[in-house]
Amino acid sequence: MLYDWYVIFNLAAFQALGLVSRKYTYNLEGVGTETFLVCQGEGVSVLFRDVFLPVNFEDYNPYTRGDYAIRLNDDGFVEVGIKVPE
Amino acid sequence: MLGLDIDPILIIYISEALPDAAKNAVAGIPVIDDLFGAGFPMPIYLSEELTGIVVDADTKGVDMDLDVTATADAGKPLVKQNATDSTNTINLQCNKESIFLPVFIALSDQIFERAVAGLYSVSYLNGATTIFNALVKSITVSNDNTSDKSSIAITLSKANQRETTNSAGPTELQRTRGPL
Repeated sequence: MLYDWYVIFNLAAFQALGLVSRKYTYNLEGVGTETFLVCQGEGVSVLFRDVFLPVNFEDYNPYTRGDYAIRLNDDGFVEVGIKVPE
Repeated sequence: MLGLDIDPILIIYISEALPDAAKNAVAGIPVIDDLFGAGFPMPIYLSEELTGIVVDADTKGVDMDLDVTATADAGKPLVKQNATDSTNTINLQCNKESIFLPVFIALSDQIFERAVAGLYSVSYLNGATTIFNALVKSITVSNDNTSDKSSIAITLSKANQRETTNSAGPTELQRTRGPL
């Protein structure tokens, strides 16, 4: 099962801002322009295409939901994955 | 105060307004050919004696877009601001009998047809208020059935004189294909 991974933001840098939420808009290769809503609550989560993707949820890294996945990489960046159709 | 006893003037410039037959008729004639090819400016003097159209009021406005994101620790919020538009709204009063009222309505229809292609511009000069090559944001003509007056409201935008900000668009993100 393959995913297209996109590096969205640095987790530590986002938490240092102290923001409740922030939108990141990127032009994703092979997809087009998409917006990611990053929210700070108990943990940090990303809302992408109406799918809620918590970072490191219940120590699941990566965490998958439907056709999407989220993971925290070794460099501290949050990546969102979109499942590649087989 | 400045001794400039000049009536306000609205200049509507229509590009390529002439039919092909008219263009062909003057093709090859020096100067005239160039003028016809470029379109023509249509000045409308806003004078009660001359055209029956007078300026009631003109208003300048600047629209801003403000996006405030609060911080979790009630600190200084993240604020992003964009200039949306700079507009001038001109309210005109005119007599229903004025011959320029149908001319004005016809010109506004010409503008409507050329809006997407951008083949028009409007300039407005009234004392200290001068706008050149503005875009039309809206034109409203209202007839009052209880009197012989009609009112015209024109909103001109100077957006075409500003450079767009952040024209580069969103950042490109490269994908990395792999398993979970």
